[in-house]
Order: sequence, then C-alpha cells, then structure tokens
Amino acid sequence: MSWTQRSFVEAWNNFFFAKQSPVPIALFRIVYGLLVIATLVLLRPDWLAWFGPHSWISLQTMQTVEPGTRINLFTIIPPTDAWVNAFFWVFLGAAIMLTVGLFTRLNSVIVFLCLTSIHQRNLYITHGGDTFLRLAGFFLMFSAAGAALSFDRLLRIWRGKTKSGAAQHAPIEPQRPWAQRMIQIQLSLLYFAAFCHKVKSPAWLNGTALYYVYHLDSLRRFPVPAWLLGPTMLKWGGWSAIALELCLGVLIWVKDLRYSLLAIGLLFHLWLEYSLNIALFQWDVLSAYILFIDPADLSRAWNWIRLHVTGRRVKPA
Amino acid sequence: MEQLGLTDRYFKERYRKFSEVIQIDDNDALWPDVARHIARRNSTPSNPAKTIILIRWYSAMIPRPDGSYQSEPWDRHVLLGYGVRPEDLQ
Repeated sequence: MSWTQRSFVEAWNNFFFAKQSPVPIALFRIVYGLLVIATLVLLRPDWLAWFGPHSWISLQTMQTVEPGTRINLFTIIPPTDAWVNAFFWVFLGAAIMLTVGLFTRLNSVIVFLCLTSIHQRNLYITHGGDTFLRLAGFFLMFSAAGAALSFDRLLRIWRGKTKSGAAQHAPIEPQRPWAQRMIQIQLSLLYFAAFCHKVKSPAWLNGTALYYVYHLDSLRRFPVPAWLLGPTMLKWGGWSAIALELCLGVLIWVKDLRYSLLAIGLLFHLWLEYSLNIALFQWDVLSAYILFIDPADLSRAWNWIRLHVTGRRVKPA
Repeated sequence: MEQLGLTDRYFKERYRKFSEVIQIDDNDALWPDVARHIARRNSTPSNPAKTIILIRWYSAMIPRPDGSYQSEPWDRHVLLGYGVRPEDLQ
C-alpha cells in the first residue's frame, strides 16, 4: 500500500471511526425528536384527512401512482379511523421517548418506521425538510444518540453499567461517530443538490426566481420591506442563495470556514423562516448544524450557560 | 391559504403544497380521489353531492422591469368533472 493510499485509509478511519464525544449527536437527537413532535402536532388536526381510510388520496391510489416495495405500515394496519389514530399516538409516544432518550435505539427505529410510513402514505404533502428528517432518522438508528443527555445514560449510571463505574458524574464515554458523519454528509448533499437544481433552472440563473416566490400570496408570512422586493435585490438575493448553497455543500468541510458558514446559513434560514410560510422546513435543516459543532466547543458553551444561569462550572467530559 | 391567520396558515401549510401538486396535469390520477373526498365532506344524508368539478384558477405573474407587480386577470381551467356515486359517500 502506497503512502497516499495509507494516509487516505487513515483519514477515512479517523473521520468515521475515531471515537469522539457523543454530545453533538445526543443534542441532535433532542432537537430531532422535538421536530418530529412538532410535525405531528401540526398534522394532528388533519391526520385522518391525510392518512385515514377516507383521506384525500386513498392508499390504493398511492400504491398505483407510486408502485414498488416501500416501508409503509399503513399497508399492514387495519384501515379504520381507530387504527390510524392509534398509529398517531404510538408515533408521538416514540418521538417523546426518543427526545428524552429513553430506550433510544428502539424508539429511533419506531420513529423512523412511522415517519417513513406517513411519507409513503401521502408523498404529495412532504417538503425537503421532511425528506431530510427521514434520511437523518435512518442513520440516527445506528448512532450513539442515547449515550449522552438521556434517560438511558442515567439508567446505565444507576445500574453501574458505565465502564467508569457508577459515579454520579461519570464521564460520557466516547463513541464511534460514523452515523453522525453520515447525517453530516446528508446535510452537505442537501445543499449541493439544491445548488445543482438551481443552476439548471433559467429562472434562478436570470434572477427572476425569487420574484415569483415573494409574490405568491400563499407563501408569504411576515411583512418584507418593499425595498427588498425590488428586482435588483431579488436578483442578488437569488444568486447569493445559489452561492451560499454551494459553499454550505462543499466548504462546510473546511474547518477554518465552518463556523462562519454555519452563522451565515443560520441567518439565511432564519430569514426564510420569517418571510416564507413553509412549516418547519428551516428548522429541519438547521437541526443538523449541531453536528458540525466541535464537542469541545459545545462543552465550553454548556459551561458558560451553567456558569451564568446557576453559577456552577461543570467538569469537562 | 392567504385568507387564514398566521397560526392556521402554519397548521394548514400542507394544503398549499398539496394543492400545488394536484393542479399539475401529470397528477391527474389523483383527481378522482380528491373529488370523492370533497363530495364526502360536503354531503349530508338529506343532501348528497351529485357532481364535483375541480377547477384550476390561475393568474399569470409577469416580472416588470421596474419591479412593480400587478397580477394578470384570473383565468380558469376545468381539471375534472366527477359524477358522485352513492358508494363514494360511504
């Protein structure tokens, strides 16, 4: 094996398998769980209209227009309102337990199966954020999301099952981050795919795309100053969005640029959340930013919060 | 959608997406299901729906050089006329 090959293999193994703190993936698990809960709360008033036996699109039609083998629990539960409602409560219960980190692995599997099922049951009401949650949910099942900030960890400590014993402040054990890395790659691909899609679109290239977006009454949310809706501003806004998506898709892996890009990306998504009414999309995407924060920086931020809120400093993990 | 308050808009946003999708001609396989659902929602035992007509209302958006915006007059296109059968309402 040549030096280049060996260094590539080492870098690969280091990237995917060198143990690190599970705090970022645990924090992501909490935000992810909250987003799934929020998705369910927003869907609840129309749950049966979307997924029930007398829904807008029947299960049979869905299977006809989207054939093939798919993960869809609706195909195996009895087609009654009671069962579809029971599905909702099981899904919500699993999402809550995933959020608090109780039986994390089991609940991450249930959440993934249920989330995939509602998407396959009605693909016509999902947006890119939903797809991202589904894909992230797949890798979350294999991650060490319950190794920190969870009831599972507390249970392990109480039972004395941590390697470091049953001490009250047992350090959080490092874990292999390959599943976390896959979610990070997914976010990077999301931005890069958005960039590729836009550069193939004449409306984005000639700068008129945002003109349409910001003049659709059904998409508007909070008021936007008129000077921002001028053709020049909208053109620059559109081109900036394309450039930012390329940077977030590629340059986010450059450590020195990462935090600057994440900050710009955060502002970008907050602006979209303010101005456009696309439920939860921005938060779904922003949730994965957590995974790009260095565990040591998260620890420092937590210490700072503890110091300023309770006046107590925490020993580093 | 534009007539709803902020909270309702957020809750009902899936309908915006759904209505965008079903207006596309390539998705005509979905129209009978949509018509049946509308029929069920708007029927009572004494007054059952008999016909459902799906109409796409649209108004062209033409960017003007000075950035001003004025929507074109509304036009319409009939997507589907559906004769409701008794079994559709069960």
